[in-house]
Parts: sequence; C-alpha cells; structure tokens
Amino acid sequence: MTYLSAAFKALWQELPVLAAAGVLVCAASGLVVLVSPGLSPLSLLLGAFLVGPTWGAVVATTDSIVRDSGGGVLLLLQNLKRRALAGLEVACVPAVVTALALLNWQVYSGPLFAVPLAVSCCAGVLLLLASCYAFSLRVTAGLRGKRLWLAALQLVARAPLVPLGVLALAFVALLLGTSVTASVLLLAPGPVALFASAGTWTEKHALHR
Amino acid sequence: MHYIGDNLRHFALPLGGLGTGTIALAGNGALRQWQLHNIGNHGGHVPDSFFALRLSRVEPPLDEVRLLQGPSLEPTDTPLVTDDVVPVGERRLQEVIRPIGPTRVTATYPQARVDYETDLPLQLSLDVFNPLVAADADVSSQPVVGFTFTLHNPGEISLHGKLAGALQNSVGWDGVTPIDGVTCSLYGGNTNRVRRAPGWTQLVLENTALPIDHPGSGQLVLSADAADSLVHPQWSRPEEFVAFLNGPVTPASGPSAAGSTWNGGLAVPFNLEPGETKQVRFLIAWHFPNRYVDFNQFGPHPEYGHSRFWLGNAYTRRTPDAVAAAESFIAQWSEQEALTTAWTEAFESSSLPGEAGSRLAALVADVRSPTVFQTADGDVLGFEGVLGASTGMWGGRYGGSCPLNCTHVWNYEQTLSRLFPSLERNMRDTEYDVMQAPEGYIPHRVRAPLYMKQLWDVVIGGPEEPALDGMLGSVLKTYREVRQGAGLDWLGRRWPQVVRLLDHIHDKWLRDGVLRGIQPSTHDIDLCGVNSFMGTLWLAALRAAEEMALLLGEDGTAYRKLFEAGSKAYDELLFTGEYYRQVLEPNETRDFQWGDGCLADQLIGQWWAHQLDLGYILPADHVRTALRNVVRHNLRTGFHDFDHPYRVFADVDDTGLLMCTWPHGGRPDVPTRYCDEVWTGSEYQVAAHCLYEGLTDEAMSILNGLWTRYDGTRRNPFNPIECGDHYIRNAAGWSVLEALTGYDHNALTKSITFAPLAIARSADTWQFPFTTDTGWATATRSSDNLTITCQAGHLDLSTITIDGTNHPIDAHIYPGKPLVIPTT
Repeated sequence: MTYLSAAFKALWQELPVLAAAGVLVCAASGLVVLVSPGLSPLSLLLGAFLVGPTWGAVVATTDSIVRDSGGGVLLLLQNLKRRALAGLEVACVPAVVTALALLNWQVYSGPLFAVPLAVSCCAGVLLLLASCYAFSLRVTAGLRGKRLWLAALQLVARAPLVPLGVLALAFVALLLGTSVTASVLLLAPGPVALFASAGTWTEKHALHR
Repeated sequence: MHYIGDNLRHFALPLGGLGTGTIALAGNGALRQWQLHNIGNHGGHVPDSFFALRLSRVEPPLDEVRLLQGPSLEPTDTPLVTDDVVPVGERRLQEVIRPIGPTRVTATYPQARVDYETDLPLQLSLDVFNPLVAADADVSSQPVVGFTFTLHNPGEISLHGKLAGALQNSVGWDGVTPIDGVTCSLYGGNTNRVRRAPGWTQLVLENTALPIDHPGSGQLVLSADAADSLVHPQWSRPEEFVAFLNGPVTPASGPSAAGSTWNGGLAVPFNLEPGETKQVRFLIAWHFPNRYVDFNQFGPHPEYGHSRFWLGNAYTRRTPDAVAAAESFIAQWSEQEALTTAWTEAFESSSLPGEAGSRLAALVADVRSPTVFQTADGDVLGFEGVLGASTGMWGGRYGGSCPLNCTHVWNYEQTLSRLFPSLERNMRDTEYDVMQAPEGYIPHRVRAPLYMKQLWDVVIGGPEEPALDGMLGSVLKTYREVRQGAGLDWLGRRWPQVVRLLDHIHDKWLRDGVLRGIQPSTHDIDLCGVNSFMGTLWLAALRAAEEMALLLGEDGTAYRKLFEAGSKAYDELLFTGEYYRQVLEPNETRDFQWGDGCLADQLIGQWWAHQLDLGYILPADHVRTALRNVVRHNLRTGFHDFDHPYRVFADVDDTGLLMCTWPHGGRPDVPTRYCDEVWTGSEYQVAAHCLYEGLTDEAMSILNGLWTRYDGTRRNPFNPIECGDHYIRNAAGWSVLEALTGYDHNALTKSITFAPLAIARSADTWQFPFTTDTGWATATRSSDNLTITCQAGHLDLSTITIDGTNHPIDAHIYPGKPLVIPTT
C-alpha cells in the first residue's frame, strides 16, 4: 500500500494547510536566522527549540492527510498545541548531536579529535536521515525514546530512498529560494512534510520480521 | 463411546495428522470428506476409494463380493451442516457392489472400531487410527491412516477369500472440482505402480507429468501388509475391480488420458479355518507439498487471494514422499498404535463423568483438522475454521474461514497449547515478530506469507480495527506459554514487546481505571462503554503481566495498582447484584451493544485467570452469582419458537447457551451481533468456568446440552460449527478437562496439581490423563496412593499436589517406570 497518491492529491486539495504550514515553519526558521545567523551550535539548538515543535505539528497534520483522516488549518493549529512537545523531543536529538560535533570542531583541532568529530558527524547525518521518519513515528505512531530512534534508523536502513528524497526536495527548495525567489521557501515546507509522511507510512511495514 | 443407528448419520471422524489434511470415516464405514489436497472441503469426494471383501466357501457353496460399508443413511434437515451428505460416488458404488450390512461404531478420537453386521458366515471389524502422541508434534503430524481388519470364522467350515482396498489416484486434483467416476478435467497423465517391500505390497499413485510446483502435485500410497498381495494397479470402473476380485484380469497400462485418472487396488488373499481369526492391515499415505496462499485474506486487496505464494507444508519436509511416509509409519505402526490406544483408553477408562472422556478427547480433532496447518518454514497458522455450509452465504463452502491466526477467536483455544506447547508458542512468536506494529498494537490477523506487509494502519475486517480482546489475550497467552514450558529466556525476549502492547492499550483505552471508548471485539463490532467482557480480560492481563514482571525480577507494582483500581471500578460500575452488565456513555451508540443484557462471556477473563492460577480478579461471590445467572438466563431448551436473524446452531428440541439475553428487558433495537446464536466455544468456556467455581450442575447442564446436539444424529461429534466447520473457538473445551480434574501444570516450578471435583471421582479413587510440555501420563488414585504412569515422553516434576497436600518428588518419570506416591 502506498500513500503517494494521497500525497499528490493533497497538494491541491490541502493547499491552505500546506501554505499555513509554510508560513509557520518559515516564521520559526526566520526567527532562528535572525537571532543566530549561520551554522553554529546555538543556531542548531535554537532551531530545534523553535522549528522542531512547528515541524512536529506540520507532520502530524500531513500524517492525518495521507492516512485519510482529514486535514485543515484548524487541525494544524490544534496539532501545534498537542504535538509541539513531541516535535521538540524529536528535534532535540539530532540538534544536540550535531551541535556537539560543531562545538568539537570549533573548540578542538588536531588529528586526535578527528575521530570523535567523525563519529559525531556520522551520527548527525544518520539522525538527520532518521528524523525524516522519526517525526511521524513520534507524533502519530506514539513511539518514543530508544524504540523511536531504533525504528527510524531501521527504516533508514531498509528504505534509505525516502529520507534521501525528502532531503533532496528540501535542498532543491532551499536552492530555488536562495537563487530565484525567497517566496519559494514559503511553499516548500508543506510538500516536504507531506512526502515525508507518505514515505514513512508507505515504508513502515518494513519494520516487521 | 458407541454410535449406533441414527447416531451414525452425521458421524464423520476426521483422520489425519496435524497440518496434513484429513479423510473422514463415515458412520457406515465409508471414506468421505477427502481434504488431503491442502484445502478444507467437506464436499470433497474421491470416488472408487473403498474396501471390499470377496468371501468364498467350497461347500455349501458361497461366493460373495461385498462392499465394506453399511447402507448410507439419508441426510437430515439440520441447518448449516453437511456431515450427513452422502456423496453421489458412494451411492453409485453401492449400486455396483452390495454393502455388507449395517455398522456399529465405537470411537474415541483418533481411533474408531467399525463392527459390521452381516449375513455372511464371518465376523468382521475394522480398526482405524492416525497416530496421536501428546507433546510429540512430529509423530502426531503424519500423513497416514492405518486400517486393521479383523476377520473371524465363527463357523465349522473353512472360508477363504480376498480382502481388498481400492484408491483413486487423485494426484493433480484441487480438492474441490467434482469428480465423476475417474473423470475430472484436472486429471490426466496419472500413473499407478506396484512396489514390493518386505512384508508389504504398495501401490504408488502419482502423476509425473505435472510440474513440480503444480498445486496438485504429490503422491498417494495404498499399502497392504502382505508381500504376496494381488494387485490391480490401473482400472476405471468398480465393475472392473469386482472382476479382478473374481479372478485374474489384464490391467491397463500407460498414463491416464487427459481428463481421467486410474483407480488402483490391492487384494490380500486369506484362508480362515473354523474358529480362526486373522488380521489384515491397510494404510493410506499421502504427500502434497504445494500449499499456496489460495484464500482471500483480510485487509487491502482481498482480490489477491488465490495466489501462487508458496507456503508449503511442514509434514512434507519430514519425508521426501508418501512412500517414505508410509515406510516410516509402518516401521513404528505397532508402537504408535499402542501409544494412541493408551491415549484413547486413558480417556475412555477415566473417572470423568458420563461421556466426558470421549467428548474431551474429540477436542483434539479441532487442532488436527484443516483449520490448522504448519508451513514448510515451521510457522503454525490457523484459520478460524473451514468454510462450509455455515459460511456459504458470504464466504463460500471450501477453503479456510477467516485467515489467519485470528487472535480474538484463538483467545478461546486451549487444546493446542496443552498438547503441543511448542506449536502454540510459535503462534506467539508470529504475533510479536510479524504482527506487532511499532506502536505496540497487534492486528488480529496475520497475512501470509509472513514476509508480506501486515495489517498495520488499515481496515482489517471482523472487526475493522485491531481487536482489543485479541491483544489482551496475547498477554495472557504469553504467560500461559511460559507456564507451559517456554522458559524464562523466551519470556525475557518477549517481555519488551508485552510491555509495548500493554502501554499501547493503557494509553489508548484506559480512563478512570477502566477501558473505555471503542473496543473492537470478537463479536465483530465496535464494542463500547465499560463492560466486563473486555474488563475481565484486562484485569487478568494485568495480573499476568505482574507475574511475568516478577519472574524476570522486575517491578510489577504498576500492574498491581492498575489491577486493584480496575477490579474495584469494574465491580462497582457493572455488577447489578445479579450479573455484570455493560454501561454506556451518554454519547455512545446503543447499536450492537448489550447494555443491561446478560452476556454469556461476561467473565471470560476470570476463566483465563483460573487457568493461569491468577486468583480472583473480581469478588468471588459476585463471580459465582453472575455465572449462576448466566446459566439461568442464557441456557435455553427448545428452539421451536425461537426466531432470529442470525445463524442457527441450535434448533428444535436442542439445549444451548445463548450468547446474550435480556432477562429484564432493554434489548436494543440493534442488539449485539450474534446475541441469539449458540457458540460451542463459549459453552465450553462458561462450563469450565462453572466447574472452577464448583457450580457442577450448571456446568453439566451446559455440557450435556452441547454433547446432545452433537451426538451424531443431527450434528457430527467431531465437527463443531460456528463461522465454518471445525471452528477453533471450540478448542476452549480442554479447560473443562482441567477444571474437572483440578489439574494445573507449571513448567517453571515443575509442579502439577490434582484436585478432582466430586463428579470426576469414583468413591475415593479417580483416574484420568494429563499432559505436560514434555510428555503425557495418567494419574490413578487409589485409597492409599497415587500412581503416575508416564505413557510418552517424560515428566520433569519436583512437586505433586494432591487435594491440597504437597508431595515433593525428585525424579524424572519415564514410560515403563510408574511413580507411586503413598498418600496415607
């Protein structure tokens, strides 16, 4: 069973909620850029704190859309209240690990510290990929803690194309937003979340034996 | 147990191993319901497969050929059953060969003895069996049926003749398409060949023209225990076989033409001097390895049903073909017949009341019917039943009913767990490894092959969402498997999954100490409100979780607190002083609920708790009062004027326990589904529970009603029906045996307990069989000692408790070395 067709249908049918999602995510991201421009441990942690909850709410809404449970701006706003904490829980993990890697890079230098740096970077990349699944698994499926991340990593191993595709979509949107027009950035978060949801629920079955 | 006259009309004893398919021995001695071809189908008939006798005497002259069948009895009008249907092929055969005479059957599953009453100067009987050894799944999963004919010459003049067996080569058949004589569009290229083995003659029936992966590909063997048997390997009409019995004939050669097959037959010559008795053995063995997913599964895309996904069979992995299966069985025939006889005799000669022994032995047929199979990978899979007359209106009349491993129906099943614990444990492994979703829930069905997408996040069907009672049952069954010998290592591996399951249930349904909201259940409805059906399962599951936590050295306090709060809340909310009702929220629908009604299964969790030695989960006096009233209100005698829109499992003068009644009014306009039906599984469940509570009269009222309905006159004693034939809910009945005998086994503590009820004793003595995870035995109590006689496997025990008195022992008990424990 694939949820991709539902995601494509929702691109038009759920346009208001996707647009609202874009506004929310961009507002949170803009605040982060405003307070701490550039890639730094502070910006990562701030991003997790501000964007994570918003993203959690957006993914909860797109999950509901692709699983035929309905969407709507009202639901998005309700999810912002209900799922914000869960989103923060998920976002904190890759943010903290990557922030530690950056801190390590900034504070120490020399070959001795290359090993922990490499390990942190690998962990950061894996967690970034896993987080494409983890938000849905946390906010909708209710998984938490070690089980959540093991399930997400297992899904990355079994179906790596989904997070790679989602990140590629986000990257293209970022590229277009910075090179063509920034308004593209407003439209991007909704579809990215939508396809992340569709990918997660399509591939979830791979978690059994 | 004896079956005569009308009791033979519906009698159809299924013979076959676990997962191998079965052939039924009909009450007239004929072979019916051929279900060897990886599909359940009571209408499946393989013509020209029979036993016959030619009896001759020189002076006074006598030369008769008779069919070893009694005259076929005309069917009754019993609704939703087909065990009395006489196949067309059988009627035609009886027109060609005269039946020998009426039969009288003595049967305790899986053995039967057919005595033929005849005008011939010969006494003749047939003993038939398939090996059954509790705790030995391999021996009990053999694709063979053994037939032993005993011939006795009671006269003063010698007799001679031939005892013959005939079998149609049905290789290539699908188990469904009707066969007319030797004609069926699926036949063609069939060949029969003779194989002589020391002391035996075998006819090997095969079709080498079929591709190896053809669904009907396989082999059949007909054997007779005489090296010099006469063989007629290929013939088409019964008249040809009669000619062969009368003298030498020329067999046809070559493969059968397209659209037809060959019959084959063996004849064992005999001479009987006056007063002499001889025995002749025959056996039928089979090997059909290609089981496919050829049934519609629940969930998305049910149209994918008839697929070529190969499942295979475990039994065809043990031997390479039917010849090997036959050889293996022949080598151990006597030993396995003795073990099987010991099993049936242990039930027949037990001190269990009335016909209880024979009836309870019949429960094993449920788990060795086509309802259950074991794949080539070793996975144990089970339907709810076998499609038949009771499912024709929605699901057809052949194949498996409601696949697979349906947790909420299998919630009632106990027989497999007691007889073959390793197979039952495999079903738990499937639940946790394959079915459990990351969120923790377990859908109530598994899709085969097991590597396919499972029923996560989709509408399942029967009911639509994962059944809560099935999930609670999974917790209880996990603890049961631990007590049945799964061990602490197994529990340690499963425990995180149990916790996930309980966390899911807790988060989704628990409010104010009780389960609320929509609770999908075995009634195929969205059960709502607060109710003791789900509530007692929840309470028992909490107690089981507490015990499992303690076994693993973990803190079980949280489960205990939830249990205590839940027990108090359920009792306060639901107990009316008479029974436990259902309380609905104002905003919940009344449709498909029972409200103030009296549900037969309202204390199912307490029944579980007694089996697992978990104690009372609700106040004991309330439990007893409620049970008493369940029987008072729901046990009905006489169904003449009982009109309802549901399936009719009890009619005319029957006695049966109704699923739900409204003794004080208040029946909803749309009541809970199936409320007016009578389910044998629920009857066994309630009866066993009554026995645990000491309500003997109530229990026996239910059991006698059930057993009378299934006494052979209007229903088959070996085929409980509900949503199909051989319905697995019926396997709840094993708990009746344990409740009657007060038997409890805990493999962890290596302890067993006996405390038979008064009705299971004869004065101060008693005896009955019991099973453990490593073997089975009989317990015989005399006035001054208890003798444990191990019959198969071994017993590993350290404590035996007899009527409340502990007797420490320190020995393994093996067959041939009974343990005698002085009790005075």
